Amino acid sequence: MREGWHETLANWLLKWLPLFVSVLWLMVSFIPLKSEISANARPMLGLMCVYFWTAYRSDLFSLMSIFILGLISDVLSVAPLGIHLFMYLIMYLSVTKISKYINDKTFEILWIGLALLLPVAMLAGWLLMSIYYANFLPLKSLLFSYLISVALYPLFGGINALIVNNCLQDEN
Amino acid sequence: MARRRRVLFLHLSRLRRTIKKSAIAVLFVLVFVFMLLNKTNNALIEKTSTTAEEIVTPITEILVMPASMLLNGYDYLRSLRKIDLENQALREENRKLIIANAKNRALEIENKILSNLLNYVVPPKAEFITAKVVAQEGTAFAHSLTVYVGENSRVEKGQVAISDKGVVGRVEDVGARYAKIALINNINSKISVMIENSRVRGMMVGQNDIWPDLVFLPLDADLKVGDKVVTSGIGGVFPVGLPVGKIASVSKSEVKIEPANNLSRLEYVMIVDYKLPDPANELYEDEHK
Repeated sequence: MREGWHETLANWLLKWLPLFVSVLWLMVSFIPLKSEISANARPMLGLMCVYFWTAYRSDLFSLMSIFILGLISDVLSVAPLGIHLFMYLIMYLSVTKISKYINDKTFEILWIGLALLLPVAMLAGWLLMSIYYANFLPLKSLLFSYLISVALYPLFGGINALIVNNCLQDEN
Repeated sequence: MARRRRVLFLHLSRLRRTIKKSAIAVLFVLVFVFMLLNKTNNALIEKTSTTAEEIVTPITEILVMPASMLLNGYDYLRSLRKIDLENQALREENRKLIIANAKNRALEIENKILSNLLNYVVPPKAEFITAKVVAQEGTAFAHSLTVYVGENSRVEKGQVAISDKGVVGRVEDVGARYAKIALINNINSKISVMIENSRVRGMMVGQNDIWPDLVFLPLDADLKVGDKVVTSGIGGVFPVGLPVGKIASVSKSEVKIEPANNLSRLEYVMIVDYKLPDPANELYEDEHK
């Protein structure tokens, strides 16, 4: 039996849900919070999204999603175009390389995975930016961004896990 | 038949893997192409980026609403405690300002008379718009604000963004309704400044850090923590004397400037067109007359 238009639309929405959620998280990271920390060392929500969705649902988070997410991040930022996309690709490659160690593992293992892979992607971005501007960027803000990202991952992962459990469970 | 199907399946999965691998390589190449085009200030990249920003920013603005309502409510409750003390201080300040205003008016008249005597050419009056901050970026990779400027606002790239306390940054990108401002601590921010009292000149350079650096100083420059830093007017973008901040630390390797504004708590900024002639263009025009 042919599926109705609303089923096709629902399937299409579910297919792109990880990207929609990631774009929303990305925009949340641009909310002005009037605090010294948020103005200088925000969590790398885009990278955390790439990690989460590639680790949990790589079937729904393709390279196309990463490309779109990277471009949106670059457009919203004043950083050179391509820098976020570059970091997301590094994160995607790293996660796919270690996917057998983190697939179907407990939340703690995934948390450790993020803590290990985040510096790889961030340092790669830092190096590219330093080459672009021919000037080594300070590592202090990078370190704070990293610490905040790792500290916030349980909250971020929890909300994303809720979405996976409520909306994407049937897709498994 | 089954063997042929298995071989076909193997071939297909190998092909899929190759495509996936080459897609990653293509995307990496694309990243470098983007960055190279960005470095050359490519007009197409700028236009595409601005159009995309116009689509994305309104969604960010909607997301900002509940967060800013919560923050404003918290700020309001916190400010209630201080209101009485602030009221008294403001009354006292008002009294002093009335006296200062009378003195200023006398000085203004005197200045006008002296300017007429010297045949002084009055610079064009600055135009400004006040813009609301709708998004903020603060990572190790960039420090910026996105502001709502409305339609037909005549905001242009390179114009100065200031707040009540001094310079905040410079307009980096302008869309139909939104503009992106690179803050003074952003990596590509470079402003010619001077120490207010000693008139020692230098360059304030953003490092994507909390505080920007002061570089290109004379070797014998005598700098003290707390010295006020203002714009020098060199370069033709900023007029002379706009407050920028004060010297926060002086060491052998670096001098840090603490911005006059708390860059993390900006709600509104003024985008000013000082209508200063670009010295480079003027020289070019003079040479080609």
